[in-house]
Amino acid sequence: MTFWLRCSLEKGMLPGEYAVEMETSDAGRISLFASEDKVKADEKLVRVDMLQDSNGGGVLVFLPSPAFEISSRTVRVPQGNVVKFE
Amino acid sequence: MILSNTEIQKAINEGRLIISPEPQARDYDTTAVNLHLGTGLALPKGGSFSYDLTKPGFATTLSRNCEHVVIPATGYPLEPKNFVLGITTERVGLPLIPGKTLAARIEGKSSVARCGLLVHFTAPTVHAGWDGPLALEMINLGNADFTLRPGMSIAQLILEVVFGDPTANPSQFQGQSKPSGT
Repeated sequence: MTFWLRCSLEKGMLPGEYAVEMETSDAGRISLFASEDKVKADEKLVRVDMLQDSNGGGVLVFLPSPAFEISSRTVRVPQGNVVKFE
Repeated sequence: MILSNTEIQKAINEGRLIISPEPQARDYDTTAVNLHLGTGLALPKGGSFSYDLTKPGFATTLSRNCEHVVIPATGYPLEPKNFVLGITTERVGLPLIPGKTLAARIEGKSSVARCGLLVHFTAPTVHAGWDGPLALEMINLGNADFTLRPGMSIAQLILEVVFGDPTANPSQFQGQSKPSGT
């Protein structure tokens, strides 16, 4: 099973990458660069690893690269923004 | 412990290291393997703004404030004191395999360094688990233009054995102040 996070996407600085923005559980916005194999551009999704299911405060995910704003790959995001694919 | 060229080749053959396209014999030194410059460059623009990593959407800001250039076959002259981002032709993968995981560092080459070109200047580490091409932060500290050409040997990759098995799941550290759990 793979997990994808709803996000907004723009072309990144370098070929083959996207600038990705996503919402955090505390209503903040963070951003990172992800290679094109880590995103579904048409569906505005970025691949993440699920670390911890929701405990009422969102789900903890592992991002494809560190987000600039938090200097970390681990962040809590709204559960409704995570999409599962079998 | 740094891998020799024979151990690098062995790691590729065993799937512990991915370098795609696969290096040719000429790309190996005794304890490193060459990486090559891809065709795309990003030229950050100047302006009256300042970079602030805490501002939401910083990656988008960076992308919008750069010019994208495809290096022509004739080369791109990087002028002295100019800073550009490049990317390697190769995809590098360091899969997490218990007891066999590798990490790497990207380093410059003496031939390029003698001309004053830095190909990375602060972020050499390729962490275990990485999979993708490597970004190059390049600045010409020399006194003359340096011609960047697509496919040129621009950097070298040093492979090292990881002591202990890293986890891809850092949640075990939640609420702890140290990875050791203390």
